[in-house]
Amino acid sequence: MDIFSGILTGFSIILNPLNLLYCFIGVLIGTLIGVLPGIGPTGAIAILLPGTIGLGPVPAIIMLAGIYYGAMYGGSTTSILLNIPGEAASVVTCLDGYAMARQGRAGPALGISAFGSFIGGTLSVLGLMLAAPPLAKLALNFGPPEYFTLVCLGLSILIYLAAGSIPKALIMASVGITAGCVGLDQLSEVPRFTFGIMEFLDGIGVVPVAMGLFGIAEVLMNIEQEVRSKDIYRTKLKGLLPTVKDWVQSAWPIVRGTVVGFFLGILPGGGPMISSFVSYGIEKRCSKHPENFGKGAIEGVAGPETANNSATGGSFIPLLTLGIPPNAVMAILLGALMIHGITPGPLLIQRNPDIFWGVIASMYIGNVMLLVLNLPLIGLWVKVLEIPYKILFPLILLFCLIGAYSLNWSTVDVYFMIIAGIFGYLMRKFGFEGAPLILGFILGPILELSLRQSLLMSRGSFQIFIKRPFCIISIIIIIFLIISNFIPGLRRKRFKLVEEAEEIA
Amino acid sequence: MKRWNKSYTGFGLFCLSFFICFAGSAMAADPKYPTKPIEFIITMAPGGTMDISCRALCEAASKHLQQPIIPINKPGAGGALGASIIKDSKPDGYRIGILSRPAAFVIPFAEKVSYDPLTDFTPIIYFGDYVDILMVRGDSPWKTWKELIEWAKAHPGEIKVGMPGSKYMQVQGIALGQIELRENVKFTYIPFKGASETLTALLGGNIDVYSTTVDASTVDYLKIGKVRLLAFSGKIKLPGYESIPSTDELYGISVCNFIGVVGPKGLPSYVAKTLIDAFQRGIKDPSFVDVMQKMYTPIVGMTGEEVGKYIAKTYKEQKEIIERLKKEEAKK
Repeated sequence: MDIFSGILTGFSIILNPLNLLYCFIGVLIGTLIGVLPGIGPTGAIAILLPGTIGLGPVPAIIMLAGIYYGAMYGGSTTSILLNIPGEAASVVTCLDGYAMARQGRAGPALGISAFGSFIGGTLSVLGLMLAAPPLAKLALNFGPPEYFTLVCLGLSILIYLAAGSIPKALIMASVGITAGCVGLDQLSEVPRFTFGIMEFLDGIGVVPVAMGLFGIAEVLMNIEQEVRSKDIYRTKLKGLLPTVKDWVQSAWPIVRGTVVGFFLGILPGGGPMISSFVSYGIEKRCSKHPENFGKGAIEGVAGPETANNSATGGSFIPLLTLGIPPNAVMAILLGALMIHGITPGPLLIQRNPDIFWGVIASMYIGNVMLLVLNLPLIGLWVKVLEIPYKILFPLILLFCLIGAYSLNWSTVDVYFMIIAGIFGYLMRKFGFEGAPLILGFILGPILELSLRQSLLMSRGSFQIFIKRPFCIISIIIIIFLIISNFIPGLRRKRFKLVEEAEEIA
Repeated sequence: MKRWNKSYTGFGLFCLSFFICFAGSAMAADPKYPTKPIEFIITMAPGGTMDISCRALCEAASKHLQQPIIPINKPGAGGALGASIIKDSKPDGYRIGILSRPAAFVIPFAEKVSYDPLTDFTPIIYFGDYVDILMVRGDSPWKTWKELIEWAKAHPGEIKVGMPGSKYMQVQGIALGQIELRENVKFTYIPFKGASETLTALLGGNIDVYSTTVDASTVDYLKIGKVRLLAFSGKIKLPGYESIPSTDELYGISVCNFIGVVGPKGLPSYVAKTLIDAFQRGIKDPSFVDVMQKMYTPIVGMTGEEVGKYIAKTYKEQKEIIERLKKEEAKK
């Protein structure tokens, strides 16, 4: 079926009132799930899955998909307002989004986040529609050596994540990488740093740590401030929507975020989380005023938020064309399809064109619904900031505790979050940042696993990294990035970054 | 008899009614079960074969109980985490779950676990089997298992076998290890995080052989020739592919099989009986049968004590096999 007739089929499916209803329910639930810290689309879809058995496969998948990309819209809300990442993909939004909120610019932050998500989401569906099969082949060619060099590239962007001192950022990244080692070694499955405790066998969850490091730590800092001085200084609200200047500044980040998110979403193991980090790093690198990042640069919100939504569109590609789910949410959708008798795989587009085109059309409509849903809500969300802090912070803590528990119905996650929160508080007092830690935490295990897999594949030879095209390109980019720090013209920018930071600290 | 008065009559009537009450309740000695929903621990991540078949089973069995069975995923450590959660639960019948085959027959020999598959559980039902296969890409040069082995003999260590997990933690790894010894070949094992990563690696040319279980999309790939089935590594064959040999036929070596539901040890017999009954009826449910067919997972119907004996027998067998394997490999 060619694209034109395909998309017509798709729209004829989605414009059925029943399917529209389920699409709306899905995106609504997704937004709520995204706003609530802790439980993410994975948990929500797993819980709702049995309820969809009675529906046909098309409404079921439309609704479940809606939950997934809807959550990416909602996730930024608590990140911006309260510095609590709703899920792992919203961690980066905390950095500049929260800073903007403290400057009274929560409205524009939420607004550009919604618009960016819309643009990223819609364009990625376009990409899915036009180029799914050839892009899927791209995903297949990504093996352990490519992952290794990609992660190295990601870690080199780490430098750009730090708003302040580089050595401190490196220390944090090392702590993150070490914390990521807790659990079963991925290759030999020997327990590491588990101290014999069964719950440590699975490692430490990134979401509880992120919630603790950013959210709980923030609450603790604020409580300290309130205790010392009378009130938390809240700047007056300055407007609800992004200004023209905001749009101009965000235009290129949105474009770049779309591209980065889309391609990283296709890769198994990539997905919204990594896309948001990489997008942040790229934006800071490309910016004329990198010193503003971490202090409320709108590019730092626009790019990552676009990227994480764009990644959702990309992540459907391996699922629908190869039957290979690139992340946990897609894995559940795979299960959902199988329960309904649909076999995701190379024959899906031919055998079940209604699923493929129906989902694509529903994603266009769903993104529009989400924009319409989220924009008016900005006024409501912003009011949350006006609640007196002594009422707000216990509620925040409550939501975080429930949220951490809801991830795996395990109290261990709650403990991790609390410990991470205390650690995050101490960290802040001494001028360390959380973002490099989270990046190290996520990328460390992938780095180690892919390096060891690659060396197993090559029987110990490092030449494998030179023989593959993507690897060579990545290595050249990494060398360029490192060298460019020492070239005089670009060197000044780097020092300026650090100087400004030391001044403020 | 002049002393017989009203108090004796009253007392007599009282005793009589007392005994009548007891006589009635002696008939209904067992308390009512279940009176609230039952938690079912699925010890693998959502979306996979085990997850889907368990959810279908819970749906089907709930119809025969007054309370629903609620599936909850608790993946981790190949099913060992879920197993220890089940072991530590109260034996009141409100939390049961899966004892995965690695958790029962492989992991206890690879590292210290907090449960004993033989004594810490009350077996309920063994309801399904996996179809284990060894497959290569469609464009690879080996058309039969024999050809692969010949090539492997000539090129020791070059055949890359991929699995979700490491060799000594996977049931397929144990079987392949034995084959390596028998045929005097050496494979290189590359562990991956999950089934989809391993499939991606196979299709992308990063591994040569994928040792896995069949599901619907695997069959699609077989149909269009993107992958080729070289052998079945268990005793069960896929319908339509009977001509492909199984390692059991070739060497008498096979992957042990088990998808079973257990509860913590010490489940009262009325609880166990009720559960067994519900699950036995559940596996006959047409919607369950349909799902299992779509997942290419044959249904088994062993219940209760028989399952306990099966677990004990397989455990003993695997223990010997693994110990022998480690000894032989240490020699090399």
